[in-house]
Amino acid sequence: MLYWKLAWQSIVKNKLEYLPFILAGSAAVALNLIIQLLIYSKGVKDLIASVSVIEMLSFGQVVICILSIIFLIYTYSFLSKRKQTEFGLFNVLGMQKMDLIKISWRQQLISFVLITVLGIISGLVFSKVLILLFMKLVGGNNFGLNISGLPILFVTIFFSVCFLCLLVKDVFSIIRMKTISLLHATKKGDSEPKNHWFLFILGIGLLAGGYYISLTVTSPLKAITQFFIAVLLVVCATYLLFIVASTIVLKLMKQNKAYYYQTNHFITVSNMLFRMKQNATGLASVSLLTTMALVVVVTTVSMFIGQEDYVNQQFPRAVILKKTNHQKNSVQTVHQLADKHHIKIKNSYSLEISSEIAGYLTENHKIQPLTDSSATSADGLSEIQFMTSKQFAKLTPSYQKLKTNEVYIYDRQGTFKEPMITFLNKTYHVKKILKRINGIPSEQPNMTHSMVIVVPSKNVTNAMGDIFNDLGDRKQAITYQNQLLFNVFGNSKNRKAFLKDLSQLPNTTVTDKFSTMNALKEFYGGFFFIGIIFSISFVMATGLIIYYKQISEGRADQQQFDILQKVGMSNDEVKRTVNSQIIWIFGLPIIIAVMHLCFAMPMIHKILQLFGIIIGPMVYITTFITIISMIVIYYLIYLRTSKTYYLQVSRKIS
Amino acid sequence: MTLLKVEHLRKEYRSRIKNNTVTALSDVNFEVEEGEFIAIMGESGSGKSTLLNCIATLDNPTAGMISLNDQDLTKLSDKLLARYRRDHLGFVFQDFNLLDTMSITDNIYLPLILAKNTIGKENKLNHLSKQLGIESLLNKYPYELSGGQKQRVAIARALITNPDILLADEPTGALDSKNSSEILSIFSQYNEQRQTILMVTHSSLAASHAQRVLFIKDGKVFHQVYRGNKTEQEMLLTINDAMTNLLGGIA
Ligand SMILES: Nc1ncnc2c1ncn2[C@@H]1O[C@H](COP(=O)(O)OP(=O)(O)O)[C@@H](O)[C@H]1O
Ligand SMILES: [Mg+2]
Repeated sequence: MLYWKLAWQSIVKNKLEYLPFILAGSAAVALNLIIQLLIYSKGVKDLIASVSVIEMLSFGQVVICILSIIFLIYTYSFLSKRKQTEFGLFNVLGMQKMDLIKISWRQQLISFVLITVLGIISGLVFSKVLILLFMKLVGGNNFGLNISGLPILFVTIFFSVCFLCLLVKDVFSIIRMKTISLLHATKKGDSEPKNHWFLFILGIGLLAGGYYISLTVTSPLKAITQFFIAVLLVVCATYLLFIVASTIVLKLMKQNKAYYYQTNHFITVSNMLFRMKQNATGLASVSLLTTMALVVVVTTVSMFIGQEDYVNQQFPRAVILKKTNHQKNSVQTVHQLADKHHIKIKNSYSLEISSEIAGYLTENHKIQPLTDSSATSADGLSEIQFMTSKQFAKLTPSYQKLKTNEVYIYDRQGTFKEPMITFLNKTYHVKKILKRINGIPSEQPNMTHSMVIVVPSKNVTNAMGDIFNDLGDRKQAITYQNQLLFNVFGNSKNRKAFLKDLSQLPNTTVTDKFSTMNALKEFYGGFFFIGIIFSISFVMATGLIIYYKQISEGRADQQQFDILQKVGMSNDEVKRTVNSQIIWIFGLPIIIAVMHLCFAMPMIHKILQLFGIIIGPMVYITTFITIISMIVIYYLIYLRTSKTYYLQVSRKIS
Repeated sequence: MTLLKVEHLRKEYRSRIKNNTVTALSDVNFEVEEGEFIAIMGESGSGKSTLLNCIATLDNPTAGMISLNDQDLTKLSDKLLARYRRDHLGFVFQDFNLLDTMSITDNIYLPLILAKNTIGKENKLNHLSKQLGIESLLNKYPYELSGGQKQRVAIARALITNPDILLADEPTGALDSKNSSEILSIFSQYNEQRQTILMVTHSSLAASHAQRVLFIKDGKVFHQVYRGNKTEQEMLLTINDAMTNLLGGIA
């Protein structure tokens, strides 16, 4: 009973450290539980792409699990420091190490029970809200959760293992404990940090390197490999610069006597000089976590928002019928089928465009057949479709006639800039490079360069099929395929039946916007959801890291502020000094993260192109909103932190 | 001229857990003339530090009045108090209270900078550091100094604003006897230059450097001894006598 009492008293006494630990722990339990519940929910099983959605959720689960462990250990290290001094005292007062272990496991059990119970309850409550959000995002319609014991059991077991690890850690530190060193929590003088110009220049160099890669990346395919190099450079640079640059800047401030010897700057600068030394790595980690949260938001939001644009580009009309031979689509048959299913067809048009040929674009703007060696390198590879000028004239009213040696070129990537183009031993003058051709559906997104060449007549491409083969080995004659595009109106049941009948037509492929959209929505919606969960956990983690750092520093700085007040600093001045110190600690990571994000944008842009997604204004708006809400969240944590800090360091006059 | 006046000063500490109060000071009355060097003696727990903290405005008295230069300190707001502390008072503490994050120079400048009174700070620093023999330490940090050196720095910090009164709480409490006597003779020197000093101590040896010694017991000023033109040795004997006779011996 005594042990239980001592264990509980110690928790209450250190509530400044325990409370956030328990809250953060419960949040981790809740998050894990929610993802588990989603994985097992009926709604997710009913989705068309349920397999990949569940895979994605499981991946999210693994990441969240790892984050939870790291996080528990990190926050616990602050607690453990407090506990050590307390245990040192107990030890001096005559308790044996065995007794301390008995107290320790009881504390561990109490916090474990608190965390799991709180976490499971809040997890169950919030899962109702989150499944609504999730289903809205993925476009599912079954909002039911079957709350089975399995997820709860999983979470309980997972966290009991985590706490067992913490307990083992505790026991080890008790066994290794030396009483004297604990009682006199050695406060050895911290020497002033030195300037490391070499590391500073190295850091700047690495950062510039990382940024340069991102700014100059050309092809989307290269972006992926270079992305990792750039990230590595920027991560190293961030750590280096936080450690070295802060000292250099502060020392320069200090050398400027006129600046330094002002009331506002004097204490802040001399404090920060020491503070940055202890905080540099922590702040660098916080900046990187914040950057990660922002990048996750930007990419997932872009995908989620971009999918619709992307589908719309692929489908100028809701349904596309493609003939696989030379014949035309029978408009009449389509209309008959539509009537049968009470479907109205509107805005229909047809177009004729060649099948794709794969070629190799040389330096002197010549299209050459692929050889084995050129096919393996991505440079110069291009997929080309042809269209007659007659067809082009139908799509583009302000059409200017082509001469026999002229072509128009529409380059989807926008990298082609030559005045001439040569194929089949004939050189054509490029009359104009088009920004777009209205009405032609865009192709499936992929990494290769692709363009449409508008030629005077079909004759000039006749020989294409013989020399150029598709990327595979099958020889294929070039065919001009007829496509029929139209919008449909009618209820969804009729529409489905109609589309089914259409797909039974001979030599015809049918693609429609609705099913493509649904499949994509499930995928990107799930992605977006995971993105939200990740960013929330990142932001929460970073906020807590800062909170803990500040609280433990507040305790250490207590004496310093006591001295300052004795020497004549008023409470207001203390408050101002505290605020200006802490605002730096909170503000700096956000500034750095936003800067990293800005420089990463070109690269993210390129990588998203691989998924056929163009970053539009909506993405910038959501990014902006994310940054603002992040600032708001940080600001709230900041207010809480500076208040707690202030209460710790200000004199309590009785 | 009377510099400091303490009248019917009372200080109670109320403990929050049990509803009882500790009366640290019950009724303290005394005056300090300009240029005096006064020591306040008493047993441990007799309320010496409490008294000094009240005068230093670091603590609020429960009742009574403290005035410095006819200004009632008990009626000032927190902001004015802070200004009052840094403009008119200088402190020296038992545990030095130097800031580890600042060089010695910056520690000494601290009150001037808080008071936004930085004109001519270099001259003041030169003057004081020469008198206190700490010129060679100015670019070091507190953790590189010995106790005696730290206390000299603390004295320099206390004196750089030319305070009306120098308050010292057990300034030699953490020092060995050699350093103690050096610090005390520094006090005597400054007192000869008409610096008013109020020092709290439980050591009769330390108190023997003062011109007047007040004894406090049971929260009151119990007795006082004037040095007149006694030597330090004779003063020490007088103080010890007073303690054995009046207080029942504590030295
Ligand atoms: N902050 C406080 N809260 C409660 N009691 C206090 C406080 N400070 C001092 N006391 C009590 O007031 C009395 C006088 O203390 P103090 O002035 O520190 O004595 P001295 O400095 O002479 O040793 C003591 O009984 C002490 O316990
Ligand atoms: Mg005392």
